[in-house]
Amino acid sequence: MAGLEDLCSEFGLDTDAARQAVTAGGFGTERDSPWYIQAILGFGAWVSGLVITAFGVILVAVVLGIDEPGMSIVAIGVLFFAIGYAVLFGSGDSIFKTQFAVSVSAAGIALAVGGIGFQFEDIATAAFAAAAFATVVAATSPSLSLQGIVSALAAALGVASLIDLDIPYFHFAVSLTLVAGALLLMWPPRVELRPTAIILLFTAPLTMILLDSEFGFNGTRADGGNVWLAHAVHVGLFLWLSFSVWRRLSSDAGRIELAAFAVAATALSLILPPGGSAALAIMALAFVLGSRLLALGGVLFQIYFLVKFYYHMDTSLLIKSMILSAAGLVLIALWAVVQGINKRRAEG
Amino acid sequence: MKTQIRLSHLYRLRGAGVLPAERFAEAAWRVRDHDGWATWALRALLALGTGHLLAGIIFFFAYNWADMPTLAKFAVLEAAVAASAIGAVIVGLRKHAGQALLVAASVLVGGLLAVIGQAYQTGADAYELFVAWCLLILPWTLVSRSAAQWVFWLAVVYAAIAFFCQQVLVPLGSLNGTEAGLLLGGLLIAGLAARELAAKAGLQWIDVAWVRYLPLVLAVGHFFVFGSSAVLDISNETLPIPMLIAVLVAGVAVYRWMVPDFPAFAVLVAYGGFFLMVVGGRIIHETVEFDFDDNARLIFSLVLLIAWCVFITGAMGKLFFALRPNDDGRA
Repeated sequence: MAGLEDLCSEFGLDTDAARQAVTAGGFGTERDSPWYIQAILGFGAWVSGLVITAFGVILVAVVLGIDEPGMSIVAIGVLFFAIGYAVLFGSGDSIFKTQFAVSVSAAGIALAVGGIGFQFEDIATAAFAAAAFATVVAATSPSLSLQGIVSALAAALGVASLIDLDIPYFHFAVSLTLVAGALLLMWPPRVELRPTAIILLFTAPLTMILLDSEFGFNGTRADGGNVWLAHAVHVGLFLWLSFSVWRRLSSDAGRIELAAFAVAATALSLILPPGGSAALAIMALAFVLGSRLLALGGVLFQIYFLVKFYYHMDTSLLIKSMILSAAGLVLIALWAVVQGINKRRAEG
Repeated sequence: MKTQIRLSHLYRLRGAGVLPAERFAEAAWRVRDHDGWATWALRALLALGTGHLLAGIIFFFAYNWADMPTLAKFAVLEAAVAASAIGAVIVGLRKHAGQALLVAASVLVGGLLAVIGQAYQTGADAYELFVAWCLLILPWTLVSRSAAQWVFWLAVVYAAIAFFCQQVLVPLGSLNGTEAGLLLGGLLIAGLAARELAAKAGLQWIDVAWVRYLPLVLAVGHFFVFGSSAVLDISNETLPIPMLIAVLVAGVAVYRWMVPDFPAFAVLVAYGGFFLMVVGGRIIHETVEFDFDDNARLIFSLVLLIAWCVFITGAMGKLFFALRPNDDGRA
């Protein structure tokens, strides 16, 4: 961990402005809160939002007695969103007020987007509406919880609409969200988009997990080129991240270690479902940025896809055994080589 | 005092326009813990390699299993157990490779017991295999000085008790399903307590974060599920409610004051908060009622539930904000 003053001096940054930004940044409970606190409060807001959504639907369907809820649900949703936003930007910085505002705004967006979907009987239209709301929230809302909830809604509807449209390059299209998320984290804009970036980053592997039963073996459709394009995107991202580390290493030994690891990991990930190479790219991003959240997510995804791959592999147990053993021996040999180099470096 | 910079601070610097986007990745690389991440990467590599190799060996025997003479089955598995255990001793239990070999030997003992059951058709229940397994690997576990070995042993003990409940205690009527679940939650709590006592006694190898958080989340999760089911009348038991409350109170006392750990404290508060949401929902249902035939009553009860959920989340936020950790992660 580096000191602020050292960083400012090394990077030629304005120390006073940097100190002010570090101490004053954040909003409400999100200020100085670690990711798990934001996740807990986000979950709480999501639960409240679900109850408010149910309230909106019941208000329209049962109390007002409207049979075809399309535009009336949209109207209620927009009203809720407006109320939530008004409270969010109202005077005072009460935590209760903020939680209420986030829950009402999220429920309002869910109702409006759902209403649009019903009205036009089209998931893609609902997805576009959700994306528009997500853009508005990302650009204007100070709450990261709200941004995360709305981005997740937009991502889920986006994937659902791709399935509904039955597009030929489904996995390739979904894999692009991984690149978008990585770019937002590596070159962040001034607007705080971390929740959106993480949602985008996790969309590709989550899609492959959730659609497991629909797509069958390896969580993919049968059209092979589609899968290889997705792999190419994920592996390309992994290699680019590896190269960014390689450039920063000063020793030749370190560069050789990294190159050997990148080659072995690429070879291994190419035999996995696309979710496996996506998890590898997430782990690489975690390593480059030093993000524990991404490391945890990447490792859990990787375990899932490894187990799934070997369980579903359509070959004899003998072939499975040979592939597994060979991969294990290569990885252990790589580990031993790196350990040996590190030991010699420490001694010499 | 110098301000230490983390990744989250860099995003704030970027947001304030102090740090240009094109230098962000470079700054992230500058502030990250290089030694910590190098260790993480190496451990991940070793775990991945060991997992693959072990799975490969298991698949190989599964392939040849039917055609293999019984004696050969025993010979192969016993040789693998011996090789792993001797390898662990040669490499040394202080090294990660030695610890990984001991875990491998412990896994293979389970395979050996399964073969004994197949070869001799002992008619034993599944729980007996797991009881034998946990007893046989206990000596290795005691000398292992490895957190992973202890967690594996605890998982085998958990499976033994779960099968014992399922195959003996519940069918005999000694316990019902809820009590069995609480017993398993209690086992995880006991494991967690042992971990804390060992760490307090100075055993540094057990004092790693994941060995605290994993059993904590799972153990309190057991009590939360059964406690919430009791509140919602899904089960007719009332015992889980005071037990959940006791676990939460004790946990908060431990992780707030005795062994201060903010993430563990936050997990307990979160479980408590979400349990209160469930309790509030039940009270509203009992007093006002979610009555679909009475619109005014239905709307009023939903409004109350919304207010309650928002209040609980807000209260959790207020508590977290007031007690948030310093830069060292401690509350």
